[in-house]
Amino acid sequence: MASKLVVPKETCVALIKEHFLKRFGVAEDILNHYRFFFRGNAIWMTGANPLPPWSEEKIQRLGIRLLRNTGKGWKPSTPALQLLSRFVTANRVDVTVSEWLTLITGDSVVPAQASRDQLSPGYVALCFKGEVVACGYFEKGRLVLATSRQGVQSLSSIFERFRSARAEDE
Amino acid sequence: MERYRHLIPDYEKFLRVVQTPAPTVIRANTLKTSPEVLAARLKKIGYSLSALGWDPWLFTVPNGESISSTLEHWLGHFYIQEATSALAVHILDPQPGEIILDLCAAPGGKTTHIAQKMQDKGLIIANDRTEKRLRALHSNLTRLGVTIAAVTETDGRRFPDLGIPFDRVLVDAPCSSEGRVRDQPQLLEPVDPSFLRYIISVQKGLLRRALELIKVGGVVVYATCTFAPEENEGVVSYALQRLPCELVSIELPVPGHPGVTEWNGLRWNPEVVKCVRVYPHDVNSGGLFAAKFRRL
Repeated sequence: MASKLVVPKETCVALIKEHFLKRFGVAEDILNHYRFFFRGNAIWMTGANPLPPWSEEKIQRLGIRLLRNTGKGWKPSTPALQLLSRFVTANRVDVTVSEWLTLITGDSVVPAQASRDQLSPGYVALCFKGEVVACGYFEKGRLVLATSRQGVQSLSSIFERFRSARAEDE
Repeated sequence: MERYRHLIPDYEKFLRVVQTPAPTVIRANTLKTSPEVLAARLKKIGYSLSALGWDPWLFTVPNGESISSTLEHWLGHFYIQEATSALAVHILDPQPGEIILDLCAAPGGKTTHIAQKMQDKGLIIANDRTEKRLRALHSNLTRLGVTIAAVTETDGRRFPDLGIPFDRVLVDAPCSSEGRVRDQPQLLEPVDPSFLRYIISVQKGLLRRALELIKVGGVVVYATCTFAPEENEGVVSYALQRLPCELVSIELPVPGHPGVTEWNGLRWNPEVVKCVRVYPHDVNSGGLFAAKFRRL
Protein backbone atom coordinates (compact mmCIF):
# COMPACT_ATOMS: atom_id res chain seq x y z
CA MET A 1 0.00 0.00 0.00
CA ALA A 2 1.18 3.54 -0.62
CA SER A 3 3.17 5.16 2.13
CA LYS A 4 2.38 8.51 3.68
CA LEU A 5 2.91 11.75 1.79
CA VAL A 6 5.24 14.18 3.51
CA VAL A 7 5.27 17.84 2.59
CA PRO A 8 8.88 19.06 2.68
CA LYS A 9 10.06 22.15 4.50
CA GLU A 10 10.73 25.28 2.48
CA THR A 11 14.47 24.66 2.73
CA CYS A 12 14.01 21.25 1.06
CA VAL A 13 11.89 22.77 -1.70
CA ALA A 14 14.65 25.31 -2.30
CA LEU A 15 17.14 22.45 -2.60
CA ILE A 16 14.96 20.62 -5.12
CA LYS A 17 14.73 23.76 -7.26
CA GLU A 18 18.43 24.41 -6.89
CA HIS A 19 19.19 20.82 -7.99
CA PHE A 20 17.17 21.24 -11.18
CA LEU A 21 18.73 24.61 -11.85
CA LYS A 22 22.30 23.44 -11.34
CA ARG A 23 21.96 20.03 -12.96
CA PHE A 24 19.55 20.73 -15.80
CA GLY A 25 19.41 24.49 -16.09
CA VAL A 26 15.68 24.58 -15.29
CA ALA A 27 14.91 28.08 -14.03
CA GLU A 28 13.43 28.12 -10.54
CA ASP A 29 10.34 30.03 -11.59
CA ILE A 30 9.33 27.10 -13.85
CA LEU A 31 9.08 24.91 -10.77
CA ASN A 32 7.29 27.57 -8.73
CA HIS A 33 4.09 26.40 -10.42
CA TYR A 34 4.37 23.05 -8.65
CA ARG A 35 4.26 21.79 -5.10
CA PHE A 36 6.45 18.97 -3.90
CA PHE A 37 6.24 16.14 -1.42
CA PHE A 38 8.16 13.08 -0.36
CA ARG A 39 6.89 9.55 -0.57
CA GLY A 40 9.30 6.78 0.32
CA ASN A 41 12.59 7.47 -1.42
CA ALA A 42 11.04 9.73 -4.07
CA ILE A 43 10.05 13.35 -4.53
CA TRP A 44 6.84 14.02 -6.41
CA MET A 45 5.52 17.23 -7.89
CA THR A 46 1.98 18.35 -8.46
CA GLY A 47 0.24 21.33 -9.97
CA ALA A 48 -2.96 20.46 -8.05
CA ASN A 49 -4.56 23.49 -6.47
CA PRO A 50 -6.13 23.03 -4.02
CA LEU A 51 -4.32 20.02 -2.69
CA PRO A 52 -6.58 17.16 -1.68
CA PRO A 53 -7.71 17.82 1.89
CA TRP A 54 -6.23 14.59 3.11
CA SER A 55 -2.64 13.63 2.65
CA GLU A 56 -2.53 10.08 3.84
CA GLU A 57 -2.38 6.53 2.60
CA LYS A 58 -5.67 6.96 0.74
CA ILE A 59 -3.85 8.65 -2.11
CA GLN A 60 -2.00 6.26 -4.38
CA ARG A 61 -0.35 9.06 -6.27
CA LEU A 62 -0.51 12.81 -6.62
CA GLY A 63 1.06 14.42 -9.67
CA ILE A 64 4.15 12.86 -11.21
CA ARG A 65 7.38 11.57 -9.77
CA LEU A 66 10.15 14.11 -10.11
CA LEU A 67 13.19 12.51 -8.46
CA ARG A 68 14.15 9.23 -6.86
CA ASN A 69 17.14 8.51 -4.72
CA THR A 70 18.93 5.61 -6.40
CA GLY A 71 22.01 5.57 -4.23
CA LYS A 72 23.93 7.04 -7.17
CA GLY A 73 22.19 10.35 -6.64
CA TRP A 74 18.80 11.87 -7.33
CA LYS A 75 17.50 10.41 -10.57
CA PRO A 76 14.91 12.48 -12.43
CA SER A 77 12.03 10.47 -13.86
CA THR A 78 11.74 10.26 -17.62
CA PRO A 79 8.18 11.73 -17.58
CA ALA A 80 9.36 14.68 -15.48
CA LEU A 81 12.24 15.35 -17.85
CA GLN A 82 9.84 15.14 -20.80
CA LEU A 83 7.44 17.54 -19.11
CA LEU A 84 10.24 20.03 -18.49
CA SER A 85 11.83 19.27 -21.87
CA ARG A 86 11.97 22.77 -23.29
CA PHE A 87 13.39 24.18 -20.06
CA VAL A 88 16.17 21.60 -19.74
CA THR A 89 19.25 23.41 -21.01
CA ALA A 90 22.11 21.61 -19.26
CA ASN A 91 23.23 17.99 -19.25
CA ARG A 92 21.12 17.18 -22.27
CA VAL A 93 22.60 15.23 -25.13
CA ASP A 94 21.28 14.32 -28.55
CA VAL A 95 21.52 10.63 -29.41
CA THR A 96 21.39 9.13 -32.92
CA VAL A 97 19.16 6.21 -33.91
CA SER A 98 22.05 3.76 -33.91
CA GLU A 99 23.16 5.01 -30.49
CA TRP A 100 19.61 4.63 -29.15
CA LEU A 101 19.56 1.06 -30.42
CA THR A 102 22.82 0.40 -28.56
CA LEU A 103 21.55 2.00 -25.36
CA ILE A 104 18.37 -0.07 -25.52
CA THR A 105 20.38 -3.29 -25.46
CA GLY A 106 21.89 -2.15 -22.17
CA ASP A 107 25.25 -1.20 -23.63
CA SER A 108 26.88 2.19 -23.21
CA VAL A 109 27.82 4.67 -25.91
CA VAL A 110 30.49 7.32 -26.10
CA PRO A 111 28.94 10.60 -27.17
CA ALA A 112 30.72 12.85 -29.63
CA GLN A 113 33.46 15.01 -28.10
CA ALA A 114 31.44 18.20 -28.46
CA SER A 115 28.52 16.68 -26.56
CA ARG A 116 30.79 15.06 -24.01
CA ASP A 117 32.28 18.41 -23.11
CA GLN A 118 28.83 19.70 -22.21
CA LEU A 119 28.08 16.86 -19.79
CA SER A 120 29.05 16.35 -16.19
CA PRO A 121 28.92 12.97 -14.43
CA GLY A 122 25.45 12.00 -13.23
CA TYR A 123 21.94 11.79 -14.62
CA VAL A 124 21.34 13.44 -18.00
CA ALA A 125 18.48 14.07 -20.42
CA LEU A 126 18.78 11.87 -23.52
CA CYS A 127 17.29 13.56 -26.56
CA PHE A 128 16.35 12.70 -30.11
CA LYS A 129 16.31 15.50 -32.64
CA GLY A 130 16.21 18.05 -29.84
CA GLU A 131 13.42 16.52 -27.74
CA VAL A 132 13.96 14.92 -24.36
CA VAL A 133 13.08 11.25 -24.73
CA ALA A 134 14.44 9.55 -21.61
CA CYS A 135 16.73 9.75 -18.65
CA GLY A 136 20.29 8.53 -18.98
CA TYR A 137 23.44 8.34 -16.87
CA PHE A 138 26.83 9.73 -17.82
CA GLU A 139 29.96 8.38 -16.20
CA LYS A 140 33.60 8.05 -17.29
CA GLY A 141 32.80 9.50 -20.68
CA ARG A 142 30.06 6.96 -21.46
CA LEU A 143 26.26 7.15 -21.56
CA VAL A 144 23.79 4.49 -20.47
CA LEU A 145 20.00 4.47 -20.54
CA ALA A 146 18.30 4.93 -17.14
CA THR A 147 14.63 4.19 -17.67
CA SER A 148 12.24 1.39 -16.70
CA ARG A 149 12.30 -2.06 -18.33
CA GLN A 150 8.87 -1.34 -19.81
CA GLY A 151 10.22 1.94 -21.14
CA VAL A 152 13.13 0.14 -22.76
CA GLN A 153 10.70 -2.17 -24.57
CA SER A 154 8.71 0.76 -25.93
CA LEU A 155 11.82 2.63 -27.01
CA SER A 156 13.08 -0.50 -28.71
CA SER A 157 9.97 -0.69 -30.94
CA ILE A 158 10.18 3.02 -31.70
CA PHE A 159 13.82 3.10 -32.73
CA GLU A 160 13.64 -0.22 -34.61
CA ARG A 161 10.92 1.45 -36.67
CA PHE A 162 13.13 4.45 -37.25
CA ARG A 163 15.91 2.18 -38.42
CA SER A 164 13.73 0.17 -40.77
CA ALA A 165 12.03 3.25 -42.16
CA ARG A 166 15.39 4.95 -42.60
CA ALA A 167 13.67 8.01 -41.22
CA GLU A 168 16.66 9.49 -39.52
CA ASP A 169 18.61 12.23 -41.19
CA GLU A 170 21.70 12.14 -39.07
CA MET B 1 -29.02 -6.98 -29.97
CA GLU B 2 -32.30 -8.15 -31.45
CA ARG B 3 -34.19 -6.78 -28.45
CA TYR B 4 -33.23 -3.29 -29.59
CA ARG B 5 -34.82 -3.62 -33.04
CA HIS B 6 -37.59 -1.18 -32.09
CA LEU B 7 -35.39 1.03 -29.93
CA ILE B 8 -32.47 1.90 -32.17
CA PRO B 9 -33.30 4.13 -35.15
CA ASP B 10 -32.31 2.68 -38.53
CA TYR B 11 -31.65 -0.68 -36.94
CA GLU B 12 -30.46 -2.36 -40.15
CA LYS B 13 -27.76 0.26 -40.64
CA PHE B 14 -26.82 -0.13 -36.99
CA LEU B 15 -26.39 -3.88 -37.49
CA ARG B 16 -24.24 -3.35 -40.57
CA VAL B 17 -22.01 -0.83 -38.80
CA VAL B 18 -21.48 -2.85 -35.62
CA GLN B 19 -20.17 -5.74 -37.68
CA THR B 20 -17.28 -3.62 -38.95
CA PRO B 21 -14.30 -2.59 -36.83
CA ALA B 22 -14.40 0.93 -35.37
CA PRO B 23 -11.81 3.35 -36.73
CA THR B 24 -8.81 4.17 -34.59
CA VAL B 25 -9.20 7.63 -33.11
CA ILE B 26 -6.52 9.64 -31.35
CA ARG B 27 -6.81 12.73 -29.18
CA ALA B 28 -4.03 15.29 -29.37
CA ASN B 29 -2.70 15.99 -25.89
CA THR B 30 -2.78 19.76 -25.67
CA LEU B 31 -0.80 19.66 -22.43
CA LYS B 32 2.21 18.73 -24.56
CA THR B 33 1.53 19.71 -28.16
CA SER B 34 -1.07 21.21 -30.48
CA PRO B 35 -3.35 19.28 -32.84
CA GLU B 36 -1.73 20.99 -35.82
CA VAL B 37 1.82 20.13 -34.79
CA LEU B 38 0.83 16.56 -33.96
CA ALA B 39 -0.92 16.04 -37.31
CA ALA B 40 2.08 17.45 -39.17
CA ARG B 41 4.55 15.27 -37.24
CA LEU B 42 2.57 12.11 -37.78
CA LYS B 43 2.03 12.92 -41.44
CA LYS B 44 5.80 13.25 -41.82
CA ILE B 45 6.23 9.66 -40.69
CA GLY B 46 3.45 8.32 -42.88
CA TYR B 47 0.19 8.62 -40.95
CA SER B 48 -2.53 10.32 -42.93
CA LEU B 49 -4.82 11.59 -40.18
CA SER B 50 -8.30 12.95 -40.81
CA ALA B 51 -9.75 15.55 -38.48
CA LEU B 52 -13.02 14.42 -36.94
CA GLY B 53 -14.51 17.86 -37.42
CA TRP B 54 -16.63 18.12 -34.31
CA ASP B 55 -13.65 18.18 -31.96
CA PRO B 56 -10.40 19.88 -32.99
CA TRP B 57 -8.38 17.53 -30.77
CA LEU B 58 -9.63 14.30 -32.41
CA PHE B 59 -8.32 12.57 -35.53
CA THR B 60 -9.03 9.23 -37.17
CA VAL B 61 -6.14 7.03 -38.20
CA PRO B 62 -6.61 4.66 -41.14
CA ASN B 63 -7.31 1.15 -39.85
CA GLY B 64 -4.44 -1.25 -39.72
CA GLU B 65 -1.85 1.42 -39.00
CA SER B 66 -0.35 0.78 -35.58
CA ILE B 67 0.30 4.18 -34.11
CA SER B 68 1.25 3.20 -30.59
CA SER B 69 4.90 2.45 -31.42
CA THR B 70 5.70 6.00 -32.39
CA LEU B 71 7.90 8.50 -30.62
CA GLU B 72 4.91 10.83 -30.39
CA HIS B 73 2.98 8.21 -28.42
CA TRP B 74 5.93 7.64 -26.10
CA LEU B 75 6.20 11.37 -25.53
CA GLY B 76 2.52 11.55 -24.60
CA HIS B 77 1.49 13.71 -27.52
CA PHE B 78 -1.71 11.74 -28.05
CA TYR B 79 -4.09 9.22 -26.54
CA ILE B 80 -5.82 6.41 -28.46
CA GLN B 81 -9.53 6.27 -27.70
CA GLU B 82 -13.07 5.86 -29.01
CA ALA B 83 -14.58 9.03 -30.44
CA THR B 84 -17.69 8.74 -28.29
CA SER B 85 -15.59 8.72 -25.12
CA ALA B 86 -14.80 12.36 -25.81
CA LEU B 87 -18.50 13.21 -25.70
CA ALA B 88 -18.80 12.38 -22.00
CA VAL B 89 -16.10 14.95 -21.24
CA HIS B 90 -17.72 17.52 -23.53
CA ILE B 91 -20.92 17.06 -21.57
CA LEU B 92 -19.12 17.32 -18.22
CA ASP B 93 -17.49 20.56 -19.46
CA PRO B 94 -14.75 20.86 -16.80
CA GLN B 95 -13.12 24.25 -16.38
CA PRO B 96 -9.60 25.27 -15.32
CA GLY B 97 -9.30 25.63 -11.55
CA GLU B 98 -12.27 23.41 -10.69
CA ILE B 99 -12.36 20.39 -8.40
CA ILE B 100 -13.48 17.27 -10.27
CA LEU B 101 -14.17 13.74 -9.11
CA ASP B 102 -13.82 10.99 -11.72
CA LEU B 103 -15.41 8.17 -9.80
CA CYS B 104 -14.56 5.30 -12.19
CA ALA B 105 -11.44 6.73 -13.76
CA ALA B 106 -9.36 3.82 -15.06
CA PRO B 107 -7.80 3.45 -17.58
CA GLY B 108 -7.72 7.24 -17.72
CA GLY B 109 -8.88 8.30 -21.19
CA LYS B 110 -11.52 10.60 -19.78
CA THR B 111 -9.40 11.68 -16.81
CA THR B 112 -6.59 12.86 -19.06
CA HIS B 113 -9.12 14.55 -21.34
CA ILE B 114 -10.58 16.34 -18.32
CA ALA B 115 -7.06 17.49 -17.35
CA GLN B 116 -6.61 18.90 -20.85
CA LYS B 117 -9.87 20.82 -20.62
CA MET B 118 -8.67 22.17 -17.27
CA GLN B 119 -5.26 23.08 -18.73
CA ASP B 120 -3.78 21.06 -15.85
CA LYS B 121 -5.09 23.62 -13.36
CA GLY B 122 -7.31 22.69 -10.44
CA LEU B 123 -7.70 19.26 -8.87
CA ILE B 124 -8.92 15.92 -10.19
CA ILE B 125 -9.59 13.04 -7.84
CA ALA B 126 -9.28 10.00 -10.11
CA ASN B 127 -10.74 6.97 -8.39
CA ASP B 128 -11.19 3.34 -9.33
CA ARG B 129 -11.54 0.11 -7.44
CA THR B 130 -9.47 -2.33 -9.49
CA GLU B 131 -5.73 -2.47 -9.01
CA LYS B 132 -5.10 -3.83 -12.51
CA ARG B 133 -7.05 -1.00 -14.12
CA LEU B 134 -5.37 1.54 -11.86
CA ARG B 135 -1.99 0.55 -13.30
CA ALA B 136 -3.18 1.71 -16.72
CA LEU B 137 -4.48 4.92 -15.15
CA HIS B 138 -1.10 5.63 -13.53
CA SER B 139 0.69 4.96 -16.78
CA ASN B 140 -1.56 7.23 -18.83
CA LEU B 141 -1.47 10.11 -16.34
CA THR B 142 2.32 9.91 -16.34
CA ARG B 143 2.71 9.65 -20.10
CA LEU B 144 0.36 12.52 -20.81
CA GLY B 145 1.99 14.75 -18.19
CA VAL B 146 -1.03 15.31 -15.96
CA THR B 147 0.13 16.78 -12.65
CA ILE B 148 -3.20 17.72 -11.01
CA ALA B 149 -4.60 14.22 -10.49
CA ALA B 150 -4.73 12.43 -7.15
CA VAL B 151 -5.41 8.73 -7.62
CA THR B 152 -7.47 6.82 -5.07
CA GLU B 153 -8.50 3.17 -4.90
CA THR B 154 -11.95 2.84 -3.43
CA ASP B 155 -15.29 1.34 -4.34
CA GLY B 156 -16.97 4.46 -5.72
CA ARG B 157 -20.24 3.52 -4.03
CA ARG B 158 -18.50 4.10 -0.72
CA PHE B 159 -16.22 6.98 -1.67
CA PRO B 160 -15.59 8.84 1.59
CA ASP B 161 -17.06 12.23 2.23
CA LEU B 162 -14.00 14.35 2.84
CA GLY B 163 -15.74 17.68 2.73
CA ILE B 164 -14.44 18.47 -0.75
CA PRO B 165 -16.77 20.85 -2.62
CA PHE B 166 -16.70 19.00 -5.95
CA ASP B 167 -17.71 21.21 -8.87
CA ARG B 168 -18.33 18.25 -11.16
CA VAL B 169 -18.42 14.49 -10.86
CA LEU B 170 -18.13 12.04 -13.73
CA VAL B 171 -19.67 8.61 -13.26
CA ASP B 172 -18.40 6.63 -16.23
CA ALA B 173 -20.17 3.60 -14.91
CA PRO B 174 -19.24 -0.03 -15.46
CA CYS B 175 -21.90 -1.52 -17.72
CA SER B 176 -22.71 -4.33 -20.11
CA SER B 177 -20.53 -2.47 -22.64
CA GLU B 178 -22.73 -3.21 -25.64
CA GLY B 179 -21.46 -0.04 -27.28
CA ARG B 180 -18.08 -1.76 -27.66
CA VAL B 181 -19.56 -4.49 -29.80
CA ARG B 182 -17.44 -3.48 -32.80
CA ASP B 183 -14.29 -4.48 -30.94
CA GLN B 184 -15.86 -7.35 -28.99
CA PRO B 185 -18.33 -9.21 -31.27
CA GLN B 186 -19.35 -11.55 -28.42
CA LEU B 187 -21.31 -8.59 -27.06
CA LEU B 188 -23.88 -9.24 -29.80
CA GLU B 189 -25.16 -12.04 -27.55
CA PRO B 190 -27.87 -11.21 -24.98
CA VAL B 191 -26.67 -9.98 -21.58
CA ASP B 192 -26.96 -12.48 -18.74
CA PRO B 193 -29.96 -11.35 -16.62
CA SER B 194 -28.15 -11.94 -13.33
CA PHE B 195 -25.24 -9.77 -14.49
CA LEU B 196 -27.72 -7.13 -15.56
CA ARG B 197 -29.31 -7.08 -12.08
CA TYR B 198 -25.89 -6.87 -10.45
CA ILE B 199 -24.54 -4.11 -12.67
CA ILE B 200 -27.69 -2.00 -12.29
CA SER B 201 -27.28 -2.11 -8.51
CA VAL B 202 -23.65 -1.00 -8.89
CA GLN B 203 -24.66 1.83 -11.25
CA LYS B 204 -27.36 3.05 -8.88
CA GLY B 205 -24.90 2.98 -5.99
CA LEU B 206 -22.30 4.97 -7.93
CA LEU B 207 -24.75 7.59 -9.15
CA ARG B 208 -26.28 7.92 -5.72
CA ARG B 209 -22.86 8.47 -4.15
CA ALA B 210 -21.91 11.02 -6.80
CA LEU B 211 -25.06 13.02 -6.13
CA GLU B 212 -24.40 12.86 -2.40
CA LEU B 213 -20.82 14.12 -2.80
CA ILE B 214 -21.38 16.93 -5.31
CA LYS B 215 -21.83 20.48 -4.04
CA VAL B 216 -25.25 22.12 -4.37
CA GLY B 217 -25.50 23.49 -7.91
CA GLY B 218 -22.70 21.18 -9.08
CA VAL B 219 -22.89 18.91 -12.10
CA VAL B 220 -22.88 15.11 -12.23
CA VAL B 221 -22.59 13.33 -15.56
CA TYR B 222 -23.64 9.71 -15.65
CA ALA B 223 -22.36 7.88 -18.72
CA THR B 224 -22.32 4.32 -19.99
CA CYS B 225 -21.36 2.62 -23.22
CA THR B 226 -24.38 0.35 -23.32
CA PHE B 227 -27.68 0.55 -25.16
CA ALA B 228 -29.63 -1.16 -22.37
CA PRO B 229 -32.35 1.21 -21.11
CA GLU B 230 -32.41 -0.59 -17.75
CA GLU B 231 -28.80 0.56 -17.17
CA ASN B 232 -29.46 4.02 -18.53
CA GLU B 233 -32.86 5.64 -18.27
CA GLY B 234 -33.77 3.16 -15.52
CA VAL B 235 -30.82 4.27 -13.35
CA VAL B 236 -31.44 7.95 -14.12
CA SER B 237 -35.11 7.62 -13.13
CA TYR B 238 -34.04 6.01 -9.87
CA ALA B 239 -31.82 9.02 -9.07
CA LEU B 240 -34.51 11.55 -10.02
CA GLN B 241 -36.94 9.82 -7.69
CA ARG B 242 -34.61 9.40 -4.72
CA LEU B 243 -32.16 12.31 -4.71
CA PRO B 244 -32.31 16.13 -4.80
CA CYS B 245 -31.35 16.65 -8.41
CA GLU B 246 -32.67 17.64 -11.81
CA LEU B 247 -31.68 16.77 -15.35
CA VAL B 248 -30.05 19.39 -17.56
CA SER B 249 -30.49 19.40 -21.34
CA ILE B 250 -27.44 18.34 -23.32
CA GLU B 251 -26.22 19.85 -26.56
CA LEU B 252 -24.16 17.42 -28.59
CA PRO B 253 -21.73 18.31 -31.38
CA VAL B 254 -22.77 15.10 -33.20
CA PRO B 255 -26.07 13.48 -34.17
CA GLY B 256 -27.77 11.88 -31.19
CA HIS B 257 -31.13 10.79 -29.84
CA PRO B 258 -33.09 11.64 -26.69
CA GLY B 259 -33.46 9.19 -23.84
CA VAL B 260 -36.41 6.83 -24.10
CA THR B 261 -39.34 7.09 -21.72
CA GLU B 262 -40.73 3.62 -22.37
CA TRP B 263 -39.55 0.40 -23.90
CA ASN B 264 -40.42 -3.26 -23.71
CA GLY B 265 -43.26 -2.62 -21.24
CA LEU B 266 -41.07 -0.50 -18.96
CA ARG B 267 -41.71 3.21 -18.29
CA TRP B 268 -39.39 5.86 -16.94
CA ASN B 269 -39.53 9.45 -15.71
CA PRO B 270 -40.56 11.68 -18.66
CA GLU B 271 -37.58 13.94 -17.86
CA VAL B 272 -35.20 11.31 -19.25
CA VAL B 273 -35.78 12.74 -22.72
CA LYS B 274 -33.05 15.21 -21.66
CA CYS B 275 -30.54 12.35 -21.70
CA VAL B 276 -28.69 11.51 -24.89
CA ARG B 277 -28.07 8.31 -26.80
CA VAL B 278 -25.41 8.09 -29.48
CA TYR B 279 -25.21 4.94 -31.57
CA PRO B 280 -22.26 3.55 -33.52
CA HIS B 281 -23.88 4.43 -36.85
CA ASP B 282 -24.38 8.05 -35.74
CA VAL B 283 -20.67 8.84 -35.46
CA ASN B 284 -18.90 5.74 -36.75
CA SER B 285 -17.65 4.92 -33.28
CA GLY B 286 -18.90 3.09 -30.20
CA GLY B 287 -22.11 3.77 -28.31
CA LEU B 288 -22.77 6.27 -25.55
CA PHE B 289 -25.54 7.12 -23.13
CA ALA B 290 -25.21 10.22 -20.97
CA ALA B 291 -27.30 12.12 -18.44
CA LYS B 292 -26.35 15.47 -16.95
CA PHE B 293 -27.64 16.24 -13.45
CA ARG B 294 -27.59 19.41 -11.41
CA ARG B 295 -27.63 18.94 -7.65
CA LEU B 296 -30.45 20.84 -5.95
